[in-house]
Amino acid sequence: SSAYPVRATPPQPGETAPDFELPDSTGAPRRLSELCSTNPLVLVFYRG
Amino acid sequence: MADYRQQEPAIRAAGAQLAAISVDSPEKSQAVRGELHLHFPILCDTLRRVAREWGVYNAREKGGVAKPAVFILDPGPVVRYASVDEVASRIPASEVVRVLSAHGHTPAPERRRLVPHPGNFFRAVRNSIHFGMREPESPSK
Repeated sequence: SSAYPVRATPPQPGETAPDFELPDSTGAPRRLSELCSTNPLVLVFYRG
Repeated sequence: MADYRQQEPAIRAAGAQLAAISVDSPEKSQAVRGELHLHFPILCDTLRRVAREWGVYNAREKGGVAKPAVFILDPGPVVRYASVDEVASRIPASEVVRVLSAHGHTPAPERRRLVPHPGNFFRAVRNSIHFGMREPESPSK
């Protein structure tokens, strides 16, 4: 986990954000670009 | 998260989807969904890869967690709106709804304001010809 690059500042409006694929809580893979392919997506980061 | 659960209908009404992301395991995230009665997906960044790549990684807490942050993403994914906090709270969901609604109701520019009306164009040409052919006025005495 520590080998991934750390970005100093979050992506800003107008920038293309890094795409990713992660499992959801059921274990199903979810790709970000597919989640917002037709409608805007509100992505909420929380601490856990 | 309860705030966003309550505002989810308004977010959907504004034409957007909602998803959450944390460093929790899928099992823990599923438990959170059940406890808070969340209907939107929770993505599991257990390796902290996304938090690092998105610049929202807080290495000093709990062995590394995501900072509270909210992004509105258009297809691409292109960032429309970004808010990152250093503390536990994040922007209210009502503010996200306001941003979405403001964007959705922005009127498209009217073509007639951008393209000259043909009548105006020909009138302008006719006037320029007319004034171009006028005899120069004699200087006033």
